[in-house]
Amino acid sequence: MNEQEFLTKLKEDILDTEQTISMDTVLQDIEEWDSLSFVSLIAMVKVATGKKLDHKAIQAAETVQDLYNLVK
Amino acid sequence: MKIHVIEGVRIKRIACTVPQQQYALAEYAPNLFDEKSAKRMARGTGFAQLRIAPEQVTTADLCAQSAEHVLAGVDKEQVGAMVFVSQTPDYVLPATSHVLQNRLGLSNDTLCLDINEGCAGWVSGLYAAANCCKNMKTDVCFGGGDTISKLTHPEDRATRSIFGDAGTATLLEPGPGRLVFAFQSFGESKDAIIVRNRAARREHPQAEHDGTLYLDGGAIMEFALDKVPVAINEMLQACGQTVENVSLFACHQANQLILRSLADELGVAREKVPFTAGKIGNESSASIPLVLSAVQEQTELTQVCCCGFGVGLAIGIAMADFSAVEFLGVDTL
Repeated sequence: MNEQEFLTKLKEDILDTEQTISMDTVLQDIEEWDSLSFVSLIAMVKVATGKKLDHKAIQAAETVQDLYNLVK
Repeated sequence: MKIHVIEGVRIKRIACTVPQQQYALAEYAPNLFDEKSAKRMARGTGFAQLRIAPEQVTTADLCAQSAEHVLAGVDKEQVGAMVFVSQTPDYVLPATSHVLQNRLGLSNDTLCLDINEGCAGWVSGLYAAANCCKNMKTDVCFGGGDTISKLTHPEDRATRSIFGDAGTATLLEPGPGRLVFAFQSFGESKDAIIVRNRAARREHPQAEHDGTLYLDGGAIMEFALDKVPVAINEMLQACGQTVENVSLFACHQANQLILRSLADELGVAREKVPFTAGKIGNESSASIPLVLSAVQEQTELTQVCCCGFGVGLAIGIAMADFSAVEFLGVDTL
């Protein structure tokens, strides 16, 4: 999954937000970054890449870039 | 994986009860969700509406109503045990099974057992009830359910958006039948779903969720994708079965996202792992009888794999033939 694909999936499928999201966006600044988006991300990544994300690593992520680093 | 077989026990009847009160998310938690965010939440979790018990209705009330249905016409002197599985008992003590024994008119010779379990609890309770039935050679009444809404914090989005209330009753009797069980416990992950500072142990006095339910959604998702499908596959292997042979996976209704992912992990069609709790909520130990009740008319029930998973963390799996069970439906209270 490239950066653009990841941003689109994150914004539309996971967060379902109208906010502008870039790789530098701080996760805490996104209103929809909540427990639902957290589990949706794990499910999406599993389906898209077969990878099982570690929930502690997701918790430690601060920016969208940090999340992408876990996924790519 | 260790499997445990109980023969000579038949599941006779199953009945369920939910509270009359049913709320859309934005209506139930207007402080947390507006129409738009409620829709987004419901799209993900699958829970568009929640059944919420009013203050005066407890799990015991919901289970008692279900139990009245399954016990109709049964000689109550022939009921040897009353098993009650819940995390929301009426009292710290006495055990709620005693309250139910009296309320249902069961004899003074009844063994009363309360089991503190949640999402995996229906399977643990069924095992306890089936053992009593086998050993006592009597009918056994098994109530299971929760009113988790009484434990969620009004400001907690993660729990307030998914939990609904329900109570169930299952009647077991000696007869032809074969139940196969397996259990797993991961006590090291107890903190993933926990209510602190409400029972005897006092700790973290400043904790944000003091006395109310804390749920680590990410940890549960990981558990559901990692441990649960492996456990189900090991169980099937131990029973000489394959996922193709199983007619239905009656799984705990954690949320829609988890059930879809679980189906994908098992490599079965999502319809084989149905999500039917969209207008009730995550019903804790009531979820398996509720999903069975919802699909029984249009589903082959000869080879059913029931799987509860969650708080503990724990997994309970039961393989059984439910085709001769009398389903008495879902009533309201």
